[in-house]
Amino acid sequence: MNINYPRSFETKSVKLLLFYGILILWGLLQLYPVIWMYLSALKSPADYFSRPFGLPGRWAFENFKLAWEGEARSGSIILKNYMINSLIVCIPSLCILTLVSSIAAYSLAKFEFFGRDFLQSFFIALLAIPVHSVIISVYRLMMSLHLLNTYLALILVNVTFCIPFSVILLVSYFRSFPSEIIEAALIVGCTHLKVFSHIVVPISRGAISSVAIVNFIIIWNEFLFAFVLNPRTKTLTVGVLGYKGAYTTNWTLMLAGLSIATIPSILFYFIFQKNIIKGMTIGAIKG
Amino acid sequence: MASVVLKDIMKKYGDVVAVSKISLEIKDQEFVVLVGPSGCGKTTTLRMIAGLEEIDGGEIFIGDTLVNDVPPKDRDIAMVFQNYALYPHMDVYNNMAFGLKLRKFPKNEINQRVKDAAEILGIQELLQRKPKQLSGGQRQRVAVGRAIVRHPKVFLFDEPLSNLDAKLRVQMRAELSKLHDKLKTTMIYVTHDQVEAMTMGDRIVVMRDGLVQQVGSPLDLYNKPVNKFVAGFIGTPSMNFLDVILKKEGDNLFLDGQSFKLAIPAEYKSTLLSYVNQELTFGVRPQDLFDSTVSREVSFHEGTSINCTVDVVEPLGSEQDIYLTTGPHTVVAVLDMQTRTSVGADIKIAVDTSKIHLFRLDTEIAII
Repeated sequence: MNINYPRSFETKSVKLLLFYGILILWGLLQLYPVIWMYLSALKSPADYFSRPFGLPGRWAFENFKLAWEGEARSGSIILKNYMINSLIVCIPSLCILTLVSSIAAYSLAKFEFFGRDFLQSFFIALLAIPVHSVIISVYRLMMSLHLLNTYLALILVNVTFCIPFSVILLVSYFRSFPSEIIEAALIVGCTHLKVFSHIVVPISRGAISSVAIVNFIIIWNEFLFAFVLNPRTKTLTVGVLGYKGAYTTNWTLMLAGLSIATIPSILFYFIFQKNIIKGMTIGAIKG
Repeated sequence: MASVVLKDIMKKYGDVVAVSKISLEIKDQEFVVLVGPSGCGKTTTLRMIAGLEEIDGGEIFIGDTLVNDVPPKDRDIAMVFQNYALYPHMDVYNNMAFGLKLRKFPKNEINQRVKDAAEILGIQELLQRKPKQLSGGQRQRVAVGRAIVRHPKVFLFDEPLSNLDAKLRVQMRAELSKLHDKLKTTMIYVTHDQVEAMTMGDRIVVMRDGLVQQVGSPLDLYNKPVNKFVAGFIGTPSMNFLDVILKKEGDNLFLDGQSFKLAIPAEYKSTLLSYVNQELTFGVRPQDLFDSTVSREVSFHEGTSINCTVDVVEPLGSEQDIYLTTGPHTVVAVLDMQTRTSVGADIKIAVDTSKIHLFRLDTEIAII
């Protein structure tokens, strides 16, 4: 039986096919470097140079063990120590960031005070400042505060640079938070602080955790400040650089290290995928 | 329990005056309804009493205390919101107990109060449920329950039934009235629904453009509106308004509406003499119009009826709303079902002239 599809249907199908084709190609282009990194991390040094784009001749799983625990020689790079450093920086940064940005966003969204609109525009303007342009002044500031090579320096910098983004996301969420719930709590006997801690935060934990998760990925992957401010107490992203020597570079161990460094972010993304997407679209869609 | 006194209270938003020097005295245990169209300032007034809105002028007393600068939590009031405003992360029990816990009531007393309120409202079996597991009516009950557990001096209701369907609204209306009888607490209730106002309030405050138009009992407002706005706002269907000229023939006064002449009862003569030959607005409620051929409720004679043509017939079962035209005027009459008529038919409508209203054309103030 011959079915005569209308011409518009055929055009639509071709367009759809083309659209998906481009999307798949784009996806592969994005994915290829990551896959290449994982595959190369499983190669022996000989394989790495002889077949840079092929599958490993021998699957060198020991690369990951060596990267994680270090080689049996002095001065070897032990990634698990760097991971601990990263956690020491990341967890307090997130706690402070979440607390400060949620209080700031709630105030901006729900209270009327002099300069509120200016302050909000200021947060948006801060987003436009590239971190590279302030790196020297931040370095000098930390030096004068004697905070170079301390965890505190990185915590402060991470919190400061993530606040504008978090506040802007949360302000749009808190704007849509029903004022009647806040007012009902005020009438039954809450102070504003109690309204925030007993009512607003528990109801908004989805939105707040979404923002925290997005920030975790940003802070975990932060390199520039960690490299400049903390050359001694290295975080994971900086530690991996140690594989690159002046004369030789252990590429396979470096790639194994990089693979390990990306695992928490990727796991985090897959576990909290919904929250991350929600975090990025907070306030954009009416719930 | 306490009285609430408003003295010249004002609220401005920029240049817009939302509430303009309202003065009102609400007695202890009274059920007062603030009613008016959207934007009339009724909710703003309620929010000022609650302390949720700062006042720009005047004084508010709850009991003997001036509460202008007292925060909402210290005013000893409870408020029920239009959208219930339940805490979605707490179950019904905790929603109701939250205020008591904050005030550090003993656990036994909290349990007892929640249990008593749940019993009054018939929500005992819902105490462990979260708000999202409740229907609209159940949520409304929980919101009321949350208010009554605190035994406040004054209850404030901000259009609490607006989100319910028509049937549930009628049911909850009766339940709230019963609750008032039981609790004997001062209640201030805001609504835009004049039926709610008429059926629930001991007194009604009609507002418009931030001003109080009239304060009185439901029947006062219905029978003796002070102006055209109140006359039109109270009553369903709305009062008919027709532009007429008051004329005098011999000793008798009558209204000339081009297509009809209506004799004015002698009792109004002295009040109306100064308005002879002036244009006025004649108001008559649809319920005070009758089919002259079937009605025995009023004795009619020449000069108390209007010849009309039927435009629309809306049978409602027990009665029917008939939309009529007479000359340039459109009139609605609520007639009983005995009247058999159809669109385009001529009908002679009798007016109960003892219940007519006349308003000045310029100020819209009631003359009779």
